[in-house]
Amino acid sequence: MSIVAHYGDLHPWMTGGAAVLTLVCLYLARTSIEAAVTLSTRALSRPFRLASHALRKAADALRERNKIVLLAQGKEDVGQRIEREFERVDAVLKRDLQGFPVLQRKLLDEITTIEADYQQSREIPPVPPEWVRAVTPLLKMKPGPDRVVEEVVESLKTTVAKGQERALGEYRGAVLERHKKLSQTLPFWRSVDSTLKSVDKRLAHLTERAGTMDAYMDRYEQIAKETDAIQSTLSSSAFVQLFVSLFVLCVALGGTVINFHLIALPMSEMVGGGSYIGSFRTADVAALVIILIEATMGLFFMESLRITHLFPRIAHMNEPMRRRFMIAALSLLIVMAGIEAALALLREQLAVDNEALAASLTTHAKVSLLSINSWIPTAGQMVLGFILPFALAFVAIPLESFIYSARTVGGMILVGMLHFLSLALHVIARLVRYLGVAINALYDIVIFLPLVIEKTWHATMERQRTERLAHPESRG
Amino acid sequence: MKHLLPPLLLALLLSGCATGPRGRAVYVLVDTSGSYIQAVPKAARIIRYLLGTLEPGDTIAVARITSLSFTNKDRVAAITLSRRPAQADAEKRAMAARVSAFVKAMEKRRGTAYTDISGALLEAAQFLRGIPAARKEIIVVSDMRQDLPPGAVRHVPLPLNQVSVFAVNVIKSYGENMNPTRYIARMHKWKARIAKGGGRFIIVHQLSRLPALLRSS
Repeated sequence: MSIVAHYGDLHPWMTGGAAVLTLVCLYLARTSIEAAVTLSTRALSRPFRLASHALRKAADALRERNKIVLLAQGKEDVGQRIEREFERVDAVLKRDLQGFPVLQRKLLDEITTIEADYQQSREIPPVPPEWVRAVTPLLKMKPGPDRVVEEVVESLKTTVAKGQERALGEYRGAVLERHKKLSQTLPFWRSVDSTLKSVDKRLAHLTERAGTMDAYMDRYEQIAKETDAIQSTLSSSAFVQLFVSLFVLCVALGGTVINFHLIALPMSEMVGGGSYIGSFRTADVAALVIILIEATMGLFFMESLRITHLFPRIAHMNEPMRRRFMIAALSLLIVMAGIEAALALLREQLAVDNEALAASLTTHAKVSLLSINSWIPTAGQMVLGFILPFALAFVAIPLESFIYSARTVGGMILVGMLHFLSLALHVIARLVRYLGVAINALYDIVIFLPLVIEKTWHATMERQRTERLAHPESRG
Repeated sequence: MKHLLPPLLLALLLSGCATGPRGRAVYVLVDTSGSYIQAVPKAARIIRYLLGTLEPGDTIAVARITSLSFTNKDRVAAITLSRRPAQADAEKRAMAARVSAFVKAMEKRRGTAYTDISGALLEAAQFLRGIPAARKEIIVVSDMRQDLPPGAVRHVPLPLNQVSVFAVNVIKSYGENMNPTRYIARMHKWKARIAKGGGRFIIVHQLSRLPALLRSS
């Protein structure tokens, strides 16, 4: 009930008097009340502000930590890729360029052979015999009246023509010989061409590898420089990795469920069908344990193969110990797969027996449920039982990817949440503070009349003081 | 948190272990009185169906309702199935064979002069009390018309705590057909008596609904 309403039953002048009195009281208490409101709201907003500040600092610290982890992961990843590229280049060098001296020798031999052949096939212009030059002026003689001379010239011409024919025949023979030599060099040219092409191809492969390594090295440098671009790339890569690994894990989960149903029923034959651990059937728990053991063995196997790197202790094992560990894990995996295959067979037998029992109970007669192709589901289940543990072993790869990417993505989400909470708390702190200001303003609205009077009085007093200061002589 | 983890795990394990008995115990009462003996083959079919629904570790017993049934001599067969499914299947087959033999034996015999349903229920309750099972059921294949021999005292409370009693194939007499209130009153009387003993009385009007009712019990 308000004060005015409380005094509403009184005489009007008494009501007015009470209102004035209340207003005066409120005016007199203004400083204290407004100070109390301000202090209270400040006291209320301070924890929010502090919490917001603390959350922001925590988010910043976490972001920094995420950045370190992300870059470390990226560095490790790129480092491994570079290492792998080096291994590849090393393999290429060993495979292709190990025989380079032999190749060079072969090339030199072939070039020498070609050169020798070329030398032999070079065309040497035939030199005309000396006597041809001697008799040439005679042959150019004009026929005269002397018949003897004419006969001599004719005889010389015939002799020269015969000599030319012989020389031409020899020359042709020599050219033919050269052509033969040249055709003999053709396989060598081809061989040289093929060898050079092979060298070119190998060098192109090396150049390609070098290009890939350059790209990786650039990335490595960016990571070392901690650039924003590489952080963004690594973050988006982590998101992609998370979704891909999650998808593969879901597929693996489907396989696990099938595996579970394959061995849960026959496990009841081994551990009892009516016993329970807590609220779960012992057979189900046992089947699950077997699947988990298989997954663990698969994980160890992958770890010992150095495909995954979840357990540093396994990674740091020396070579003989790692090999023994790998053999042990693989052996256990094979044994478990064998057990699963046997359980799958047992399952089929139990299923057939159950069907026969159900049929005999309903029809009250012996029923033969064996069909011609009854071995197909049995064989299928056995093969499935044997293969699934090995398929499950590969889950280690997406699992590792999921763990690492979930760390990054989870960290980023956590940072986002912390920032959001910090912002929310900051807003609340501000609201609480402004609430105090609003309450004080509302208070001032209620007592606006005394405040106006006070303001006017202050203004009057100030004016008088100014006037006194301006005209000091009027004081006297 | 690290210090809290072991006790939490232990508590979880203990809470898991302390979940009480599991499984199912079924006691089938077959009325072999003169007015109902012709329905014994039907009861055998119900028993065979029940055998099909049992899991390894469950218990089943079959007993006759005779003139004075508060005795284990009327028990035809009783077995707690092995926890191994294959063995349990073999035991179910053996049980089915014994039930078939019982039906065959009943074909040659005349029905009893009286019907002691209360005595049979008492005997069943005592049997079930000794079985650690989560679900306890009594299937009464009878017309639920009690006719005690002179001198038989059956006004004793039925200890049927947490036991579901299913009345299956309840045949109505001509008089009840003429006046259904008599049938309703008779059923109400049984329901009240079983409820007083802590049990639950369910009348199975349609045999096809028995599986669903058994599941819901």
